[in-house]
Amino acid sequence: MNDGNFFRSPKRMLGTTNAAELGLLYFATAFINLLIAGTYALLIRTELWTPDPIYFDTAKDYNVAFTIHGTGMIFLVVVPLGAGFGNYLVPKMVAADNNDMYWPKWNNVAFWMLPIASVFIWFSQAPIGWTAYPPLSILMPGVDMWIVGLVFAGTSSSIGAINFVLTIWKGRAPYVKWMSMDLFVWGTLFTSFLVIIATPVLTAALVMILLDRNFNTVFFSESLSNPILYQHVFWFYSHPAVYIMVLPAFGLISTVIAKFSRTQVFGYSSMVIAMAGIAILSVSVWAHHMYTTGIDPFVRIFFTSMTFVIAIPSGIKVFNWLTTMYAGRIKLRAPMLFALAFIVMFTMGGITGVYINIIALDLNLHDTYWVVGHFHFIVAAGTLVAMFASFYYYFPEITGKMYDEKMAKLHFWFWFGGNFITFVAFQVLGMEGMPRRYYTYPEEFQLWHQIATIGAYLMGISIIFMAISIHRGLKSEKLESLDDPFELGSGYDYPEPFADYIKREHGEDLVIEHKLSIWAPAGAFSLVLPFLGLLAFTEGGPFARGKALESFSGSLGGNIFIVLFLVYLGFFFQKESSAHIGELNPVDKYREGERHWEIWVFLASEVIFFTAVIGVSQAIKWNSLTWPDTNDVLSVPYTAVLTFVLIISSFTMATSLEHVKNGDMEKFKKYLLFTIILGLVFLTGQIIEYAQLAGEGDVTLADNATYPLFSSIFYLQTGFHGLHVLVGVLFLGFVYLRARKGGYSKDNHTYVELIGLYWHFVDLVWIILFTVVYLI
Amino acid sequence: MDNSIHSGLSDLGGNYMSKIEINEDTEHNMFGIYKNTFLALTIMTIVEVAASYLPDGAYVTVILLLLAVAKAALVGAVFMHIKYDKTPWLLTLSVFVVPLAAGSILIFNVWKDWRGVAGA
Repeated sequence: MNDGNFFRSPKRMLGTTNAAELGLLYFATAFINLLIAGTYALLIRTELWTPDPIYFDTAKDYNVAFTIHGTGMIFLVVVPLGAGFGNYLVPKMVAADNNDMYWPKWNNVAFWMLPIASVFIWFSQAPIGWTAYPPLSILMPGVDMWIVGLVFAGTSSSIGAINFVLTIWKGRAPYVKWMSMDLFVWGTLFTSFLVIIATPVLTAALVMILLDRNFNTVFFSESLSNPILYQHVFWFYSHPAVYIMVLPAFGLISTVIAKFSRTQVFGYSSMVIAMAGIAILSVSVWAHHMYTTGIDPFVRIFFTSMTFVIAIPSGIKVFNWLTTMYAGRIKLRAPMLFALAFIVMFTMGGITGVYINIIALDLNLHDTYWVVGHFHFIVAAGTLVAMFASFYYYFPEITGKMYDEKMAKLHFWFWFGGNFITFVAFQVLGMEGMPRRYYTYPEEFQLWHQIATIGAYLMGISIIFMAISIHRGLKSEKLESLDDPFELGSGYDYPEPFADYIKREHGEDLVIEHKLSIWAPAGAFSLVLPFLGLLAFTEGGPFARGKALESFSGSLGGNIFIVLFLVYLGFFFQKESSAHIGELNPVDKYREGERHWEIWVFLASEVIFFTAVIGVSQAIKWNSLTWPDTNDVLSVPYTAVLTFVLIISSFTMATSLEHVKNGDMEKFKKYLLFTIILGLVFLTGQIIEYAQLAGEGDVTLADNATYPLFSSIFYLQTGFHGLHVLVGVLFLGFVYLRARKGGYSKDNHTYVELIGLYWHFVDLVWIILFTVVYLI
Repeated sequence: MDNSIHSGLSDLGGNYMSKIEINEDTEHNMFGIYKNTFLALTIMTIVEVAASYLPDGAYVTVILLLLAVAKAALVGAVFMHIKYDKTPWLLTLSVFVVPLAAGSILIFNVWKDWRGVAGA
């Protein structure tokens, strides 16, 4: 339970590493974002009250509104709410070793990236739709800033996902068995796997847009490449994103339904298997968003089949919830009302999804309001409703008080009614032929638009009731007991905290200490600097489309941001390399002897990132008619020498690690230094190669390049790899500084192992790249 | 915080605190193994560069790809210690095979659906 003072202390809010407190910060941030994104929704619906302009002066302003509404609701409201519940509940549900996330400091970093992402996205005012299809997203202003915001949101989500996997996999108390975990833990675990697999691909797609806008690449050029490529890469993330949002909701709602039915969840095992099935299948259904693009018929059949199949596990879950209620005795408090609404609305969204997967229908309904109705039933009426249900259910535990039931029920009825009216109206409009994303329409659509607007305002009013319910709850008396606040016969039953178990079994008193870390949020904020620098380099600043290369030397602001970042980095390295290794994490020793899943999970996400980047590049190459012979345009012997340098560096890194394991610290430091030098030699060699290629004129990003598409792909692959080498050199430098101060020993060298694995992986990627880019 | 508590944790159950370490005999020979691996990688890189100058043909591509996979596997197995892990198949499957398989679906569909412009 929160002590009530948390939100009164900016220092605590900034530096907390306590998962429960960070969960509250996620809730607060998501709620603020909900108000902003919701306001945009009301502005959109107000505009559509009549076919004539009411609020927005131009179509572009309207485009900004639906872009910001959609992006905000998905990335800044629903996904963070899942992370918020995850933070608050998962450590307790798995009795994690210190009732906390596996990486407390990184958890703080992940959270603070969210407000940063929010600010970037709100202020971007990008008018491109949340899907950001090129060529529109290449041409419109504000997109650079919007992309930076999304990269922050995606990075926050990825760090959080790795942290959840580690907390559940490694931090789980030994007496919490897999098949006795709360279903929310399973939902969070599968969601985290999806985030780890899919988010790097979204990052790649967004960076490619950024490069097309500012660095003259032609990945999505309509004349030199194929804009449809973007849709494949984008939807590879963004369809699983639906499940990233809904899987935690499945887990949350299962608990609420079972509790308020005063029985156990029916078919626990099948629920877990169904979630696993959804997670696995979700990466093979994305092209159902692309049936009207003229997609290859074979591809279309594959995706329509997989989309029908993925409905089966969702159906299993719905029937299990119904059976749970049938077997129980239902108590209709606000959380249960929302849970019932979830089942109804999610089923409507799901069935309409199956319906639109019929290709013949999709060809007619695609890009109409029918689709808008479908996904709002899933996200707003489904996932968000599950979050409301759980918020009310856990409110007494979080605050020690009870929300106002009457207001919560009004919130429910207005939200449920508003959802139903609006989204049904959307689907009717879609069937009538109303296309989405238009700020005006023929008068024949006006009645259904007005009905939809009335529904939207009911939703808006419902949030006022929610705020009153919370306010009254917070002002009420503390509950005498939190054992069973809803009088259901059972309360919040978490497994016994690990510390209590140890005290009981071993007599040791493990003190749970949540240290404040100012360096963690400072790290998150410092990352804003290079991105601000990048934005400043674009012509006309962050709100315009420009050529970054042309204004590189002339942008004073950009250079200042970059210099500030480098100063911060130096200061941070100096400070952290002085810190005693034991201070980094209070449970480090507890993890000794375990496999280092933290780096392996991260490397898995890197594998899919490079698979996407290299693989998609190869797919384009296989289809290209005018790919140059690499021996003619690239210097293979020169790059072979660079490859050799990297291979030596892997050898020196492995040798360095072996020496620290044997306690020979001098040789450890010597070989570590060799590795850093070799990394720098590789980077320098790559810069020289780029300069030579630019001078020759064949492989360049200049307007008159002989091979523009080849050049784009060449610089994308080698550039991303070079960036990884740079990060590796920085971390190696950090480890070296710490080693010089005696930070490692024969028994304490975990971080050397972690950076070593990363370095070898970077070497491994280059081995593949050297072959596919230079030799074949 | 009392760190001595951790000494008792290994008794708490099952595989939870299992040790995944290289055995002692192997550890003594690691320097030699690293040198041999480095030599093998160097030789294969020289062969690769030489092969890239052979006349174009499917067999050259196959040779180059096999060499690349062999080199990558060596780095993974030896330098990244996957070979010496208690369950190398689990690491290989979860870190490399599954992400590669998921990414391959994307690659296949981009390739199949590519309608590039002539001259691109």
